[in-house]
Amino acid sequence: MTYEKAYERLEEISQALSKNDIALDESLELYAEGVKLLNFCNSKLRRAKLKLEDINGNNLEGEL
Amino acid sequence: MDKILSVSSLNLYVKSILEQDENLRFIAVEGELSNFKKYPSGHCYFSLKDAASAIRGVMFSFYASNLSFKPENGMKVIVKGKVSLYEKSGDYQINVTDMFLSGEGAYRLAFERLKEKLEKEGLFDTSRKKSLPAVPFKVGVATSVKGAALHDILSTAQRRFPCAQIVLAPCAVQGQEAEASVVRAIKALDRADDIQVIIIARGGGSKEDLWVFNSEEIARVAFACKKPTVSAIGHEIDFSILDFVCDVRAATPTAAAEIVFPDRNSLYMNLISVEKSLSSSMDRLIKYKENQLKLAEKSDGFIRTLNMVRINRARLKNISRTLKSGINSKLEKRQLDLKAKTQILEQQSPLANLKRGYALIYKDNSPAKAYNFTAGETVQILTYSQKLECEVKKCEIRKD
Repeated sequence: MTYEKAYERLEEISQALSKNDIALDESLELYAEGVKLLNFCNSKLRRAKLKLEDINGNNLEGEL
Repeated sequence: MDKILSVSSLNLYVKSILEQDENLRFIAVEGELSNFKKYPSGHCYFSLKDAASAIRGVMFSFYASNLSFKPENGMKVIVKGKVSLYEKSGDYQINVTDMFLSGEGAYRLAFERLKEKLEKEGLFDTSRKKSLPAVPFKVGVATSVKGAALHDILSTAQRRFPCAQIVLAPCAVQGQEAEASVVRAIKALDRADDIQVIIIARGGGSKEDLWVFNSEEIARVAFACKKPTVSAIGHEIDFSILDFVCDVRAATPTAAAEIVFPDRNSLYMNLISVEKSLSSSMDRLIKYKENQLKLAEKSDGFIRTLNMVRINRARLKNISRTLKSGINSKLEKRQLDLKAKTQILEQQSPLANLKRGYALIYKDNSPAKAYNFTAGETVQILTYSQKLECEVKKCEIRKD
């Protein structure tokens, strides 16, 4: 799952929940899915420091 | 004074001397074109000058037709030819057989040629440009380890989107090694797993320093990339062939990083607003469902149902709170719980009661709770499958 896909789905869910004709059951399922996606997106953004490596996977953070 | 010469024979004599001199027969001279004139015959006449001197030149149509560019006054050129003399005027001149642009002009010509060629082949077509990923977590950078470009990209990325991972393919960005080195770096980044976009960057420098980014080979390799590419060569004013080939051209390495990396804060803001919208939608939905149930509330049997809704609503509020405080692990369990309660709730809906054989009495389309009926009035009776229009025949007070 990519961040973009997760966010796209969140917007879909937000749209779906804005309508009154949705069944309670379905709305709860969507809400739960939304919570999971929000957690996913938040966790992807969390890291505070840039990772830097060379093309062979060697960590370069110390060298620059 | 032994001999008196005619002008013609003097000019002829000097001409023969000039033309026989080995040092003057195959020369190359650099200078600036002036008084350039091309006659209908195709012959070109001009002067070649430097800061202190000038010499006349002629290029006959046979040679002029092979010119690779259109000569103009002020251009710096190198001419090849031999020194001769024009007898009619006695002017000495260079008979030019070949002419090249020198310095800046030569660069410009090569640039324009290659640009035209690649454009014709479709390497610059907008329709072939790939779009950049909106939120790239792994970005490849081809640049020099020592350059300012890398520093600018890293500091911009750290400021905007510190959760990214940057994969550096170090390469020489000037000098003899540069072309092969840049080609290797781009190819390696395009092959690497997960990299979502490639930045090819070099800090500012002289035209000569930046020249390698006009390489045909680099252009073709960049064009062949499966991943989207962003060029960031030199400053705003510097345009390279690579800029035309890449999917996006950034004015500087800093600008490239600004284009590639989204601003994390605004992504956070978006998430917060989605979170708010989910919570408030859920609140609103529950209220709406509650109101629907209230329509049937007047019947005692449904009060429990309503309570159930209130309980569910309280639980939902709890869920929202849990989400906000970041504790989400228990959510799933609560959801299952909630779902079960909802099923009970739905079993106790008016419809379910009707299904079990009960009926609802309506008067003027409102549920008739504790209504004192009188004989002769019309009421509506709702059963599971029918709606009946009935007239009350007789009323008796229940004695039990």
